[in-house]
Amino acid sequence: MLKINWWHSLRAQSFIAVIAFGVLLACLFVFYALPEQARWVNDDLSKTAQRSLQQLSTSVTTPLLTRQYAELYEQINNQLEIQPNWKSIKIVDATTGNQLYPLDSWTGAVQSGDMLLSQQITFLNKPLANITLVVNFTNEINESSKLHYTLIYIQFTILVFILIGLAWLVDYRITKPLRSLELAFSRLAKGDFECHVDKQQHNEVGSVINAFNQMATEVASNHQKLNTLRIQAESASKAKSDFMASMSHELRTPLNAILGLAQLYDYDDLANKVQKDNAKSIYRAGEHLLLLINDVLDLTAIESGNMQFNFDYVPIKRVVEESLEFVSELINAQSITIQTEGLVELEGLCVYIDERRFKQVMLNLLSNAIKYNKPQGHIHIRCQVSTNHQCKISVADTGYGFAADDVTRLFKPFDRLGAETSNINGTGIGLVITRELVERMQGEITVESELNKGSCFSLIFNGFEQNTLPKNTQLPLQTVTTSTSNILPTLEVLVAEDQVTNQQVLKQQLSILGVNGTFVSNGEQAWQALQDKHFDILLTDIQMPLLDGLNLAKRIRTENLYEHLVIIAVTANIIKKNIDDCYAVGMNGFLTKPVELVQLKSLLMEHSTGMVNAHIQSNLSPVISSDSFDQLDLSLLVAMLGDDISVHCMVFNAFLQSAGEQIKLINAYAANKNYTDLAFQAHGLKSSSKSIAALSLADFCQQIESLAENNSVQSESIHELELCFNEVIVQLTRYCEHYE
Amino acid sequence: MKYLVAILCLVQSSWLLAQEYTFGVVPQYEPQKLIEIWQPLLEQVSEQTGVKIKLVTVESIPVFEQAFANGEYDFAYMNPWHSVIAYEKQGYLPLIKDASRKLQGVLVVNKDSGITELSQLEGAEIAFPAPNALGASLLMRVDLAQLYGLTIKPVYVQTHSSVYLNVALNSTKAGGGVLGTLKQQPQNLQDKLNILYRTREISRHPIVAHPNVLPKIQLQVQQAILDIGQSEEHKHLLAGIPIIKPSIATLADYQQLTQWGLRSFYVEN
Repeated sequence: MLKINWWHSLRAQSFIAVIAFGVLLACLFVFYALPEQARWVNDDLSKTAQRSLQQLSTSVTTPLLTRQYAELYEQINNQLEIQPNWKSIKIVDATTGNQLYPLDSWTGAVQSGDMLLSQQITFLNKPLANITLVVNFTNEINESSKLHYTLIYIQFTILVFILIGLAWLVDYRITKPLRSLELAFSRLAKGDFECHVDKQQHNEVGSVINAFNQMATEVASNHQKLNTLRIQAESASKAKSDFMASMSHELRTPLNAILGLAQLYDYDDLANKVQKDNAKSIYRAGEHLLLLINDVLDLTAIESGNMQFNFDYVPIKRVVEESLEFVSELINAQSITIQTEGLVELEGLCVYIDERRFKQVMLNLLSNAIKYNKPQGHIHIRCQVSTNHQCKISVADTGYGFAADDVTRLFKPFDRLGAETSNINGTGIGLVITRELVERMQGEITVESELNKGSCFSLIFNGFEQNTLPKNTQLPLQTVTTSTSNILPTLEVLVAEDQVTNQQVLKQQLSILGVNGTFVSNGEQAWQALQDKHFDILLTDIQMPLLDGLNLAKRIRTENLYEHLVIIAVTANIIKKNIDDCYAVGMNGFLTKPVELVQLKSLLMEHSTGMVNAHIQSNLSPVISSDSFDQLDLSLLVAMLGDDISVHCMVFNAFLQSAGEQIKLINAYAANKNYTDLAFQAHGLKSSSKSIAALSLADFCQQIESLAENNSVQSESIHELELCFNEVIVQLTRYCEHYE
Repeated sequence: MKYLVAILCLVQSSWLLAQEYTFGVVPQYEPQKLIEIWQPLLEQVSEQTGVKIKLVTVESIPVFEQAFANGEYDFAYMNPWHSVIAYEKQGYLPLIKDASRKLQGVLVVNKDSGITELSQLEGAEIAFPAPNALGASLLMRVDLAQLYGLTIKPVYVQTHSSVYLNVALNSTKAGGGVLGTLKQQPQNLQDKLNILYRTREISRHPIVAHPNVLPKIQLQVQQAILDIGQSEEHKHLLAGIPIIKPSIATLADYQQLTQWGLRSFYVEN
């Protein structure tokens, strides 16, 4: 609550105003009204005295003329008696200069406040005598001052009453209600909607309180509505992210099959040319669809704010070079020439970005420049570094370009500026994603274009001199110099995985990558292993008995013992919540099951600084005929484990050993309606199934797991699972027999 | 016849008894004050004598002079010179005078004037209350002119106080007054004055009776006043007039004024 300075409070201000008014009034009285009053009284009385003196002069003319001095004396004495402020009178004969009155010598003005008034007595224009009067109005002035002071006392008394009244008014009618309002506001801010204030007054304050009460009521009702809407939105969002997670898998899996099978036609000698051409068309269309799916997923991730960025200081020159190398084949195929300018200027300059996303941006711009170029066209890459280390990378083409008015349409999703009708492949969201990515990485993208002459896209980022960066952010030189080779340092990796099959898969994968792996079955064992030996990386499953992955990571990070240990989650659930949970407990990254060899490699490279290399085959295309193994995704299998059949069979054997037990347990738990353990077992089997690329089986397991979590497992589902499981077992057995 | 005489006597006596006498008073003061002074005395006299007396007051001295000259009053109280005139016009005779003191004029000069001899006043201005004021003016002027042969310029200033003030203020070289009024002046005024000369004395105001009033009645009234003067109980009634010690007045008491030659100084209205 805001502490109000006393001087700023209404109460104090009203007090000060009243006191200031009182002091002003008093000053006015003492320094102006009273002296003015005294002067006025004095003047007025003087005038009156002068008039009386004049009358006296007239009335004493006769006695003076007739020398009837007794009458003169009587009149003057009489006047002195009846005029209280007449002190003394002197009459001097005008001709002789004799003093006619008083009889004795005259004292004149002796007291303070005495005033002399004089008048000449004339008769027929001849001066008879001079009359002088001494008056003193001190008493009158004092009387009038006394009256005034009394008035001031009365006014001050009234003022004091006004002050008390005002204090009451401000305190009781304004300050107190305001304080209760303030209290109510803070209660409202804390979410207490029952904070109504009692309305006691039928004035403005009352109406404010009334308005507040109404507001509180409306806020409460709106809050309730919002809550309902939020719950709805959250569930919708959850549904969407669930949907997107499954989409990524569900759409790409069949597409892999389509692409793979379409490619096979090329090697099939029995196929005729028409069939081969059709297959190529299918492949191209599939590839476009894959691109579209990936873009849509990216766009969805951006729009929902789920896109993850791993920022780091990245040498910009290397990234640009790698991007150029990536598109070199495409360029060659399109007979387009490419020219770079000022690439050297980028030497030694780092940019704080997510390298993978930046590459995506560069590739997007370059592929657009290629796609929308004219035949025999030209691409010009220009790199500039300004004095404040701002680097600008421009990609200019000599394509069809677009009008300046269309620039705004350029970054609208699915608007391809009329290219929809052309035969150029595209989704219309590439640039939207590009701009989002650039802006999320604190960069800027600008466009210049001229119709039929080409367009130029420029990226602007703030750069840093590499030697000015902190030591630990400097990247090892080796990665720069040997950027094209697949390097992996010798690492000590701890794997926590309860499923034997998955353990087997990872064991094979790590062995291929030349990395030392230590395997444990749950979090507790992992914790023990960490105490005994140094590990660089921990790969951990999320769902494990005794201590799950999340709690394991939490314990490691809380204990603060293994600061440099990189923790990677290995999970089959790639919905956003799971990923957020992983990062929340301090994990460094995650891998989705089934784990592909390439993913694992790049992740290990990303998180390690070790030295020793291992070479993996770059050609991971399927070499195994998939004709009779419809339950197994062989291309995925190869992606996970390479094309060594013996390795495959080793993993399959591990699955065959453990899975029989698991399916029995699933049956038993389903019969006993022990849904908790059922879900756990189903999850375990799902995980194992993914590791042997038995995706249909994994899907059945997922269904069972979901149903078990909702306590509504049907016996039909279990039956279908068993059928599928048996099929998988048959195919695995046959696979091993076939290739051994 | 006897009866007739008896009836006449009765009528006479009833007439005598029924007659009311008038009593005129010189207007020294305003009528109200005169009534206050005189009414109690006259009532006492009536009670003692059985004679009905009615007080008559007038506004001014000229009216009063006219009235007694016409013989309108049965009894009257007036100044000595008036009593002389009244005797001459109507034959009024003095009944009562104040034996305790006499009337005498005084001539005052300013102490600082250096005047010690009357001769120094030859040709000078001298203040008097009025021409006919008996003590202050008439007696003084008579004395100065006839006894000392001085020629003066009289200045009439209405009152005795004015006379003294004129002298004190050096407006006139000297002033005529009487001892009584001089003693009544404030001390500071008296301190400035010296008495240079005193006139011859004369009896004060008499009560006079018209010759038409029966001598018996006159005597009764005279005796009553004398009795009152003797009575401890009633003599305060005379103090206000003032008559301190009433005694029988005679014509001779006042006739000397004529001999002194006042007539030529008296101003007829």
